[in-house]
Amino acid sequence: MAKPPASIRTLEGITWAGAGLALLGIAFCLYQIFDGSDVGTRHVIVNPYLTATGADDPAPVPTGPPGTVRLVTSSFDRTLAVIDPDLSQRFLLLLPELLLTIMLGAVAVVLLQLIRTFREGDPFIPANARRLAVIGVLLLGIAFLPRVEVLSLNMLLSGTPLENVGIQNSEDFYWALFVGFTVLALAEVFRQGSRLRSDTQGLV
Amino acid sequence: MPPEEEHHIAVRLDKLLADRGMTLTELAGRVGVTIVNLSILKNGRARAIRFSTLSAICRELDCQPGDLLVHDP
Repeated sequence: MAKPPASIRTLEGITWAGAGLALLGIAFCLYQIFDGSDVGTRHVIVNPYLTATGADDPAPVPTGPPGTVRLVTSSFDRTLAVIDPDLSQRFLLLLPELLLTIMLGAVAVVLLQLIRTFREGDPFIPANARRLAVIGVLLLGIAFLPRVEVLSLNMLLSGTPLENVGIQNSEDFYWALFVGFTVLALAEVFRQGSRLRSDTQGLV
Repeated sequence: MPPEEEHHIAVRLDKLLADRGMTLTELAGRVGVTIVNLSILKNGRARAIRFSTLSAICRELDCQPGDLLVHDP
């Protein structure tokens, strides 16, 4: 079998590295869940406007003359620490990261299967259309991880003094929504491409 | 690959070649189609035929498309 072009080998190398990193990430998350450290932490955003009333407005709305700039959200960044967390609390603290690394790892594995067909010089096959669709769905799943983060935070803070403080998840994954739909469109291109190719096979 | 769609078109290329005493290789050279593709056509494994190929075969074998392709239910 002929050696594949450098571009394909590079792509494959990067994807293998991504899969390896995802695997390390999963192992690290599991280690953090089961190692029994004293403090579990997560970066969160505290939004005082969520709980503010007219009487105790927690922070003035930043205003200034036109042309001035000010960092208005940095003071909201906080690290939520759970002292001596039990197993379920550790799990809830790390659930979003764990799910993210699992999903990215799955994307890398499917991508590797896809790239293998590039090596074989036969990418426009129905299987690749399905693989791209799987990647698209996984990316759309990543876009919904902030909801999981909110859910896990609510479960973590339920019954604690921080329950009504207005703690929010720190990250959003809107990019995954955009990329997910783009990959799904690409999957459709592959599906139609493979159909066209199949139509021309056997054409004399 | 999707399953091959069923059809009932029979190709009579072998008969036409035999009647004219021409070989597949010779015909391939005349119509400008590879012998592999002509063999696919002759053995009934082709799924489609270009008008240009059909026209060239009819020209070289001095026949009509209906002599080459017949509906065989």
